Amino acid sequence: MTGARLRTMAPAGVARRARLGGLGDNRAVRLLAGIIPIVAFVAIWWVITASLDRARVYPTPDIIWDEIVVILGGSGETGSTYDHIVATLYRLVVAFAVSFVLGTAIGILAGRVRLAFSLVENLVWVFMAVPSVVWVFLFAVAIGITDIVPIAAVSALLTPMIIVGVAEGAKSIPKDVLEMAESYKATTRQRIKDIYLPFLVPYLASSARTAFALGIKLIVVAEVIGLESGIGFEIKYWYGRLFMAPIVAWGIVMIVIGITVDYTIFGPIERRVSGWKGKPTAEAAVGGVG
Amino acid sequence: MTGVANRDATKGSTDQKYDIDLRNVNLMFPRPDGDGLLPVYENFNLQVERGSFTILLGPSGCGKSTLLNVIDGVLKPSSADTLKVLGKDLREDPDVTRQCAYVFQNARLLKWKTLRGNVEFGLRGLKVQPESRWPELMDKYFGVVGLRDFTHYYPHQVSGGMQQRASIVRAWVNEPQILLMDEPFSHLDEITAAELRRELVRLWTQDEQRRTIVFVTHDISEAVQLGERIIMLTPRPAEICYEQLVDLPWPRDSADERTFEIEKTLRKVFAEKAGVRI
Repeated sequence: MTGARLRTMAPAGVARRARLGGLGDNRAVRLLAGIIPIVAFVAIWWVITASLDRARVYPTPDIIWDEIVVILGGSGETGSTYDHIVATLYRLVVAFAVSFVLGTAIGILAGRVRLAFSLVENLVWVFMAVPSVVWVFLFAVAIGITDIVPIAAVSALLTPMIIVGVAEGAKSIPKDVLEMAESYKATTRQRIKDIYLPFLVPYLASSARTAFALGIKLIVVAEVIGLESGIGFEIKYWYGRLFMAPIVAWGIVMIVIGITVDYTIFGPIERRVSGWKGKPTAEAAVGGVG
Repeated sequence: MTGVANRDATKGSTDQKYDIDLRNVNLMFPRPDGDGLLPVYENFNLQVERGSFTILLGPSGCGKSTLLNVIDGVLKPSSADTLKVLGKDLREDPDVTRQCAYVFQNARLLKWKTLRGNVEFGLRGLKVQPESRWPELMDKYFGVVGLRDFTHYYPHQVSGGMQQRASIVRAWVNEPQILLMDEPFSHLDEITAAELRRELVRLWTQDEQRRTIVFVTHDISEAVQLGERIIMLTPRPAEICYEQLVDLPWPRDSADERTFEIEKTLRKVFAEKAGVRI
């Protein structure tokens, strides 16, 4: 009896699971699932701010939209908005480059040479434990209000992170590949260019994504604390005037910049990397990558 | 001055009878438990003639691959009276091992490089072939192993047999005097392995001046299929316990009466001397 019941019930259960799983497979459904919460959030926001009726402090979404249009238009109250965006991105890119070069070099050493690992290990953890805002004040006091402050602060935040990621990767380079390189008398240049760096690309790509997200936030904080340009400066300016709408608008602009960079730079890098990682890409199949 | 050096070099590479000459080689490894040293070779001797196909046959873990690493110069023995490759002492002239090319048990290709990129990696490393000859050499040897249409594929896009073929090209394309092969077919299915053995023999016999091959295996029938001289090693510390010359033409047939006889003898000796029954 029970056996028969189980038998008849089993297919129903399977079918139900398939139906639920199938729902997530549909591209349109997935897209909708991602959009609904955002739309709901904006709607609730609208209802609340409209009922409060204090647009300067609690702006409705349409006012914020107007502010975004002003930012995109280019001329704001504090000079060209694009100049501010470029200032922030410039600082981020320089800090990013500094931490990547330093982090990769130290990381490879730490991953391959035991003594180097012992030398940097504790220092890295100490650096990582420092609250990121502390870096900003530390450098601001030490070197005054210059462009170097946000760059140094972000580099100090990101470099240890990249060292850890790269060292982890460098440690896991298969021994047999390194033996092959030794047998074929590969030069140091060949080892770095053809073995270490390609092997580390996935590790670098994944830490680059996190590093970018963390980096842009800290740059803005540094700008708020003491710089005369950048997105952070804009936010501080509008905070001083107790105007909420431009603050939120600048926040949204930052989000859009972040997503755009992620899609146009980090996404393609990861897809390119997966060419040899096992997922054949069209590019790799026709042999275009090498 | 340069003339003298050159004459010396040619003398060294043509006059000596042995391409590999090891006498009284001692090699110890630290024990895995960190408790003292483990002798792998004690007063070991090995001479390999130029142009010969020598098989090192022995049970797993007896140090056959270690010996290839010593010849390749990547592993230094604890002591040795003679340690010569192509007539030159490895300790004084480590660069002579640029004339040795290695084929490993697994292909050991760089997965982010195409097959062609991998072969170039070996050429660039050993530096024995001028860059101007690379395209011609690669074309030739990729052709011989039937990979000419696959040079732009990544390793994961081709089969295990094709990967191992590419690793043979990576070695052969340098046209090295000595080929060190460490169980290169043991990871492949038997049909692919048999195919690759035939290709190896074809590749080796097509040159007028044959290259010297030292081929490590624990597979007796593979040894008889390929080798001219089969050297049997005992477990650690490894010693040569038996030698067998195989004077049969290639390609050899495993069903052939004569190869079968040799295999039988080897199996018996292997069981007696190496203490392993296969």
